Amino acid sequence: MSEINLDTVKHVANLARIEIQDEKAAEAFTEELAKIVDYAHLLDEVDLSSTTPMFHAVDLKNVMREDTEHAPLSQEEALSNAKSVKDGQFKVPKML
Amino acid sequence: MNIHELTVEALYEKIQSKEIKPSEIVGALFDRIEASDETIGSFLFLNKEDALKQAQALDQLQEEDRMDGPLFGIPMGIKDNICTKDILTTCASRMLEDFRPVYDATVMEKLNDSNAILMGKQNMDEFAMGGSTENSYFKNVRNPWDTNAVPGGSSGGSAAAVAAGYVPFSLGSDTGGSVRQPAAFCGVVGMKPTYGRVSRYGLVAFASSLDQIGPITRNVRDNAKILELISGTHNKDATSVPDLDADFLKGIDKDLTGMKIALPKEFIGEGISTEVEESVKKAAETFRSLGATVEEVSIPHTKYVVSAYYLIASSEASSNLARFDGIRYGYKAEGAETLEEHYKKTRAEGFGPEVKRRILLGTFVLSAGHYDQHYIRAQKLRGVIEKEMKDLFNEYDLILGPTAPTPAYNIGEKSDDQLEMYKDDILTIPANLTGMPALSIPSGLSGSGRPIGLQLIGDHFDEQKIYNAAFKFEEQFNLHEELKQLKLEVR
Repeated sequence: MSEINLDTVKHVANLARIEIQDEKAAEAFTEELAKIVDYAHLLDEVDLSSTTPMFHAVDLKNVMREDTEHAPLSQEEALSNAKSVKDGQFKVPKML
Repeated sequence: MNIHELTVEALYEKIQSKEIKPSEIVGALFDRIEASDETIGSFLFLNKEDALKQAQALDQLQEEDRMDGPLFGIPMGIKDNICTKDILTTCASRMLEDFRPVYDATVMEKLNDSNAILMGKQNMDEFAMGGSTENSYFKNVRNPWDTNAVPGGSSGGSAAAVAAGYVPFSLGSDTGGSVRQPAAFCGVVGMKPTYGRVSRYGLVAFASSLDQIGPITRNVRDNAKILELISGTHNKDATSVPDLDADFLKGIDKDLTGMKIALPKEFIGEGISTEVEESVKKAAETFRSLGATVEEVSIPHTKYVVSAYYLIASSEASSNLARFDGIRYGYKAEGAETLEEHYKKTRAEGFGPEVKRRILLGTFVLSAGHYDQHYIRAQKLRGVIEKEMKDLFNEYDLILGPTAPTPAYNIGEKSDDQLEMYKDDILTIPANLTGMPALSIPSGLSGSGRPIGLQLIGDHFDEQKIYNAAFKFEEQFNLHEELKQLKLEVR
């Protein structure tokens, strides 16, 4: 049985803050994701016990830059793409 | 003289010798785009007014013999996930339908400083997720070679525009093959540089440890020239590598005698179409006739790269795309009562189905209980592939193979089965997982007249060797004349 079922998809969608419109859409995602995750289990047949994970392609360490002053974005620029602005700030719906 | 047939280098010479004005080039190319891009669909936005204005200013400088910049007067098209200051950058997503960046990507700074002219922003799979450009929120792209065929993806608009003669070069981005595979499908040249060669600052992030920006051109020399110009570090991309030599045109025509090329048997095995396999074998013969040796080798873990890639890329995507909250920029859903509802509705309405699938997959892979099982094991597999390829580079100069298992398929043919489409990325993914540079060049035409792409993979920072081999190959086989004959009509 697949690790992916309807409840997993709903749980993950909640974590990702994506509303799934209806039960039918949730079922479709479940089917599609189950197929992909089942396929990924191909990796199970590889012995990786003595391998270290490779998180990055190029081994760069401690990249530093001079800590110098520079002009930041203006408030106007920073807000220029926002749909909802009030008193020079991003406006959002209530949190609770 | 047909302006749309000219390469970057040819255009540059004609501008320098004052045979032609930048405004004439730009005018002729906009005429061509407006005549047929309604069919092809390669551009999402045309920068016409500004491009004509800039061209006229360059006309004036040309007259005064002040033609500064290595791309003085050369038109370009840019994939719509590369930030252009004040100019729409949509990622072909409803989420960013009206987004205007407040800064230029590093590559745009460099190209603008070179006096290249931005013609417009190019269509793509939404957020670069896809292999056929059928995931664009706005419209499909048709392949200029056969308008029933997909152009490949995700940089489908960028490759189609170069093949169609709309621009002499485009920039795309490549996370799992998104520059090379559309270049192969459209019969043009596409490079995914070594990870870190080109600054990613201003490229809308998909999978940060895999993404690279790369050029798409009609020939190998133009490609080398554009990569030289966009290479380089930026202090806002800490993964871009400083102080690299990027002089790819030097020695590009060097004799190939003594070059050792590896042909992994997994790259021409199961799942690869006969036409593609034959084209690669013929290319191997061509390389032998040029003095190189080509030997069959093995990259035993090739069959696992698709699994590893989709686990890693989706994980990184789920994290990167968390920024689209509908607050600071982008689409905002109406009618939400609370902040949480606002996020959920905005992301449900703003993202298309493929983007959601990948975010959900990535969120699953990174969630408690699955991280070690999937994410860590995928990263381990990545290390295994890198070691297998690095071992080959101890003995060989380049790795040869096809770019894609088949030539371009028909629009709609595969769009219902994501997994089958994912599996098609098996040949391009290894270069992204390992960070190695890889180029696609045309190596043949299928029976139905669709281009076949050949891939050359190099060791880290060995782009020069790739360009050398590709240039010599191109002298023996190219599609330059065929590209000039393309009709751009719906059949």
